[in-house]
Amino acid sequence: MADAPRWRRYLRFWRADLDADLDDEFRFHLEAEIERLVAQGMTPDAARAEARRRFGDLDYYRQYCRDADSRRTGRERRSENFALLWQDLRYAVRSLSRQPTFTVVAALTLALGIGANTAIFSVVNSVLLTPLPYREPGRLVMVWESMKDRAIIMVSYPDYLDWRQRARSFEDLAIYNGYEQLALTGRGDPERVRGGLASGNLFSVLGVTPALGRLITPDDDRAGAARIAVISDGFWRRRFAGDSGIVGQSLLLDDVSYTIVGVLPPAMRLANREVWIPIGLFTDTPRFDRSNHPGLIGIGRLKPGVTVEQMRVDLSAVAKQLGADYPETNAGVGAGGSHIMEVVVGDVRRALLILSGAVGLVLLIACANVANLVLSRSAAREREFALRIAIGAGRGHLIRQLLTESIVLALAGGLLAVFIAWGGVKALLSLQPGSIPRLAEIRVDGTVLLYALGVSVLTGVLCGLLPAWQTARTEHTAALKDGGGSVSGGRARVRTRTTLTVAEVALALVLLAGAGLLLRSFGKLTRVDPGVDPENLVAALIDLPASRYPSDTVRRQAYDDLITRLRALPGVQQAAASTDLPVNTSWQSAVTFEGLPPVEVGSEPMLNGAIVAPGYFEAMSMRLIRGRAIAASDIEGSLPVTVISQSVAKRFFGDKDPLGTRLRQGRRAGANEPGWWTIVGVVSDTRTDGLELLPRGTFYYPLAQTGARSMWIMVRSLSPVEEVTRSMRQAVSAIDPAVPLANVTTLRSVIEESVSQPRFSMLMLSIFAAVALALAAGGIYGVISYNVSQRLNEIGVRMALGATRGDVLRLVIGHAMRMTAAGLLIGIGITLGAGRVIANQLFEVKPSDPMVLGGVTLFLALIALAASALPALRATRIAPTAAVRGNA
Amino acid sequence: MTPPTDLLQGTLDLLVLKSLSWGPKHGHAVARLIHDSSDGAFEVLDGSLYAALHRMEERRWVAGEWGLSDKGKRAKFYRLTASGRQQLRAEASSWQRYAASVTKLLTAVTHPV
Repeated sequence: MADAPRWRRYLRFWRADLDADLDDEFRFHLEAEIERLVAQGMTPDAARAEARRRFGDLDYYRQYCRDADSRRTGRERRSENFALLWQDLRYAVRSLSRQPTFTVVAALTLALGIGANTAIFSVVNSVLLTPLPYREPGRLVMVWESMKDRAIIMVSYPDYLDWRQRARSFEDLAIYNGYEQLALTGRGDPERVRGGLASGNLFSVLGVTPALGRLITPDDDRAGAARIAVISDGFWRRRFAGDSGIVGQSLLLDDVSYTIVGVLPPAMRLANREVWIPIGLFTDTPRFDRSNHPGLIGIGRLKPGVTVEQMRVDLSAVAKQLGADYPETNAGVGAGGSHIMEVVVGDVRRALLILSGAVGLVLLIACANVANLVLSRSAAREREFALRIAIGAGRGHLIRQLLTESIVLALAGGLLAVFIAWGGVKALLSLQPGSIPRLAEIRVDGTVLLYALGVSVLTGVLCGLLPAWQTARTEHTAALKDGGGSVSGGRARVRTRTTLTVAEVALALVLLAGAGLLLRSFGKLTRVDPGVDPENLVAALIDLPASRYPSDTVRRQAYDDLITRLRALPGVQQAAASTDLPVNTSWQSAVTFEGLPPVEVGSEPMLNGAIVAPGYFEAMSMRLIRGRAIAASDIEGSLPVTVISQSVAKRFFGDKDPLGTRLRQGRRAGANEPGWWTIVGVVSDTRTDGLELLPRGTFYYPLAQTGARSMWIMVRSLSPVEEVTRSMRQAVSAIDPAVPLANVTTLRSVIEESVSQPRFSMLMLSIFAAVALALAAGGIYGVISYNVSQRLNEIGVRMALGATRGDVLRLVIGHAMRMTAAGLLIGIGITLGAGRVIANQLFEVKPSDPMVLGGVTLFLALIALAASALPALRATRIAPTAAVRGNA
Repeated sequence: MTPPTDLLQGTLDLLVLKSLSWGPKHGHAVARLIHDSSDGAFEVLDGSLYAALHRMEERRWVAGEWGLSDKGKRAKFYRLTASGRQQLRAEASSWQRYAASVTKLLTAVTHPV
């Protein structure tokens, strides 16, 4: 047997056709065998049959060998590809480490972009993408009632019971109140805990299982049942140090003893309550009458396949029936609801999506910058590429190689980015008190890391593709021949780089404009007059338990005492009490005015109500516009009086004098029925419904003519907050040591809290815009420097021919400014076109605000000027002869 | 469907490896060599030889290469790789131990203690 010549194997295409090869091999065998048998004397036909017999089942062996072959070639191909990738990777790392400055600058740039994206994604992931910690949360909805003048009102308990009976959309419907304040006594310091009332099916509707013990069941949820409580994980750890023997212990809440039966899992954060008790223990009290809407919200689990839309139709129909069945309480009362996720996430979704878009832009700018850097680096590597092509590397290979380099670069950046994101998220959490829902769930986890990896690879491709394609397209042979840069490639590269820089400027302008708009909007928002003087005003919530303060008279006496004591405190300028804070109001009521044309049932105006002690308006620095304020003489037995806010007067009385007119809570009623209050004064408005909204208007009752269990006490004092708080606590203790001082805050911080979400958006976007600005400035600087270095010759010649330094400056800076102007124009176009994206985040600012657009345009132009001035100045210092000689 | 097996798979591999140890061969040559040297003691289906060859090629004990037969026809030649040679040594020695112990038992005249 002769040895096969080695070159023969190249006759066949290197990736062999496995089937054809196998057929050839078997055919060769059979032919050789037949030939042998014929030589031994068989007839050809007999020989053929014998050869086939000796071979066995041909089809079986063909299949067997085919399988083995394809497994083998598959493995070979994989290892070949892996070896190739490994080789590319090693080459990329070597090549990058030869130019450490480039590598570090590019990796840092990408790290900024990827890091910002990863940080925002970790927020988006936790807030928007991670499902709520309930069973099948997609089927959970929150439901409420509505009136014409107010889209969402709390649910009345009997209405809820009827919904449960009549609505067909729900597998089950639960209800809860997440606003109870309970006084915890008998264990250490008295304390106000955040309490919730839950229907017996609440936890089964949510699909929550206890971490310890059991949860509230329908059996607990009725009048006269044993008093039990379920506590939150946070409360369990804070108050009981995570005592595993907690089940069975008792808890004194509002002087009533409850037995703890279970602890909720940490993930269960509904309404942020610390203690849940069954609602059924209280529902036989007047508070849960059909006409009252005591802070209840329904939570339903939709039947499989039922949409929210169908549920709304269903609920509305039931509400209409109830309106017919109980016209005096339910006429005009509608019902509505949304997915629980919609309610929890709410407005933040839009803000987060805008921020995601913004960090996307930052990343694009970073990519453009790095692409620019890579391009100028490619110019210096002309000889290397030419050499590689000359020794047989295909253009495809060259592109793959360059892409590998940029992906390695981006991965290095991505690694750095994870640290940036980690720090960023920490900083973000520390800066963000409460305006983002699900804040506690935000973290850098596996999903986030995977995202960072994906973004890094994508970034690598994005910023490597253009330069790689550009390089592969260039005719490299010239580089080898004359040893200089290839002229055509250089020109194409300058064009690409100019385009990239224009794009960078455009994107940076969009971000700057966005940040500028939010900044201006936020400025306007914080300059809104809240209607009260919030400086040096400390507020705290007091609750007098019904067990020890059984009547309004007793409670009024206690509050009178307390206010007198507060006013006597050293350093206290003013002290007041009200059921609501002047800037954050919770009590709304439908109101009827005497003598005004009657309105359709259900369309009664909803106004804010507050019960105040005498001296409240002066203490808040509210202005008296007409009539008189609430006075100490307005007591039980005298004429019931009320003071209305200016917007109420304007809305219902126009230019007429409202004084002397009577108003009444609730619906139409006869003039002789009780419950009418005579308007004796008009005071200035306060921003009761948030700084950004015009107030719906407030009516004020005198404390001495009504009564309230819990009130906010407010003290204005120049002393430090801690000191004021301490003396307030002492004053309260002096009256009743078992009454806790709760929710201590300052009015200033209540107002700040109310704008913390716009502040967050504004701050984030400003940071991203600043990064974008720095990157764009760097981009312009880089391109102009490169351009100057390319045109040294030309500049030298011009100077030799008599061009002045001013001419050179004009030449270089002119180029930069043309580029910038193009970018600015495009950016303004994008901003105007995309304005509506941000429009609903703005307060009294239009997305096309000329001040903002003009300002940021000018600012960016100045930055571009500064960035190009440096290389321009350098160009003027070239000695003409040196330049001409230097690059000959 | 299973192939007609006359020999244990391991034994067949051993024979194929051994026949390649004298130099590269195409499948037909391997078949002739095994057939001729067995003196008709056992029958090996030619198809099962090819199955063994492709299986061992997958395991990298042998490497296939296209060449020309001594009659000038295109044929696939197999040669032993380094790991094939190692395999041959290992299998040969275990076969010899096995054969020796069987022989010892079969030729014993007294009951072994």
